[in-house]
Amino acid sequence: MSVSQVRIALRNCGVINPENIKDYIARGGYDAMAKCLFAMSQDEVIDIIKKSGLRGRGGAGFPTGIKWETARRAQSDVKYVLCNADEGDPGAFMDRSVLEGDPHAVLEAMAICGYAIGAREGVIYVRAEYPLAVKRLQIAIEQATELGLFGENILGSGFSFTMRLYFGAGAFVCGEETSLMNSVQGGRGEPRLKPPFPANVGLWNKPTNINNVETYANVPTIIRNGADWYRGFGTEKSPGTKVFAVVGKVNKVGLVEVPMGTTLRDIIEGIAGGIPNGKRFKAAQTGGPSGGCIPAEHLDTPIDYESLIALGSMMGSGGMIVMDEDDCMVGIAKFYLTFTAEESCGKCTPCRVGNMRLLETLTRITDGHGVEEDLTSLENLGATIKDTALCGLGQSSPNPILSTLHYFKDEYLAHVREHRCPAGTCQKLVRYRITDKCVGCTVCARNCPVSCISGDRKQKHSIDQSRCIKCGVCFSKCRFGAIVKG
Amino acid sequence: MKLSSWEALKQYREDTKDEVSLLNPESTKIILAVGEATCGIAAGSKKIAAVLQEESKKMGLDNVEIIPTGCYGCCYAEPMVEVRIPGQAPVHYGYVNEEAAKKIIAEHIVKGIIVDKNVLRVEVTST
Repeated sequence: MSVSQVRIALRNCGVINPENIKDYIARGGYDAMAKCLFAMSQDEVIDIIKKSGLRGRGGAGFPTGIKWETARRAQSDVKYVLCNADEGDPGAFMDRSVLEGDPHAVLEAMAICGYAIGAREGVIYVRAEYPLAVKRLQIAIEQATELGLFGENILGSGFSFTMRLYFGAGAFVCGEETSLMNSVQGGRGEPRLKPPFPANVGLWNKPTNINNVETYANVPTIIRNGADWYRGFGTEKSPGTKVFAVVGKVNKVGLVEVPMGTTLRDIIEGIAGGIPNGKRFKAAQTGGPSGGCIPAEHLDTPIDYESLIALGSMMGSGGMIVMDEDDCMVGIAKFYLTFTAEESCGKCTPCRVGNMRLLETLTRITDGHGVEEDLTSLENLGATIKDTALCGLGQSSPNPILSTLHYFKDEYLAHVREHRCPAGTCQKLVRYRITDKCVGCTVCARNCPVSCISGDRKQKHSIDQSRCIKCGVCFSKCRFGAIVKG
Repeated sequence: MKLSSWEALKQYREDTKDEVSLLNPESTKIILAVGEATCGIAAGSKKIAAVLQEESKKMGLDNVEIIPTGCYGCCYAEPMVEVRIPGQAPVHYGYVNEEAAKKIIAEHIVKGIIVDKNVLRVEVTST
């Protein structure tokens, strides 16, 4: 199986020296901006982005051209261009890599956007936890400003655009655009109701266009090569390519950029080299804490925004965590809920209280105290939070539970009916058993810290479950594979 | 220096083409591009860059330039080094430890023998 990657957003990553603007310029850099300034009207720029079908790569997939057009039409003397570089999904690092490998692509695109919507100032909201990305952005801004590619009267066109960085302090909710803008203004990182949308009422209450790093990284090539060229990749409704950070139980962890419509199987078994140690694929988690788990029977679904939502997950920013048979799906749901419950800003009740209740229920289940009614309550509460939470964080936080409940209900049932974890990872539910493979070597009994293993030499041993503390020492010490867990 | 027109930008591109680190058939410069994104640095690429520098100095190679690049996507195979010799197809190396770095200089750069063991084949359509 051989699937080729197509690099558009990552076209310069690993190719150019990101700290040398000459490399970027040699690859045609800043020509797209110059083309806009000298050969295209503002409406023509917006038109080409609309025709390209480019959609927001931050997760929701809103058409970028329409966003730009709304900001262009908004009446105001001051407008802003914002870049959302507050990448916070566990296991996702697409934006970091773009900023570290090709910072100018994002800067150039923001200037193009500024020209198109009539803004003079760009702000990049980047995580302070990405020091290298910050450093390379700073170098890039400095070098471009020195050459007159930013600043007053760019290339003698009369258009002026300046760029500055703003550092996020690590709150996940600040990836939500209205929280992000509050944070830039020095306020608490809390979201507000939409509408009004940022395109009309944004940063400092001025019309603002906000896009994600990867979305911007696509823009210069679209301007240079045209909308039809871009539409030559991907699917009808989701043109272009998408970068995924493929992590977890795969042989080749890394970044993958493929045309939309590529199947999960092609990515996981093809490009990422499959699952290590001959284990079986169980599920792929996409969309981070807002997404869901896709089981093996849907591996051949062509990936685009709509198909992932139909599967109960979402595109998200592009994190893809691959899980094998050793991963417990209840444990995975609990992992994400722990994350969202902690990151909830606390402004609205459904998210602040609801996620906490979900987490308590999940903890009860993984501790072995769950009852079957808990599953119905997870479903009901999850649906309520989705319907009533204020922002995208709460509206999507139950997804990891709902999708695993949908596809892996037997695992939940095993936890609540038999108080058993089939994957053997929920520590409080694990039961170690000694099978007939035991030769009676006594190693386990001698190493057990609570001396709960008994048996005569050369006879099969047994574990006293009432005293076992589930430390797993016997399991790892046994040289005959005689001890099983589950 | 401020560029004052689109023409000036194009001229700048032309004027600096010998200073860039991309593969240039007309140049005599050999480029060793070391993956120095967070993934590469975490895997030890700064050390590998230093070894490459030291080894090429030892061999008296004055046409070798070592530059940092971003992530090529193969985080699993970091540290990575891409060898760009004018007139030849670029070669990507993965899992480059100190020993492999020394070999890259002594065998690939000096003798023209590719260090097969560390060659990484990635199918990528560049745009």
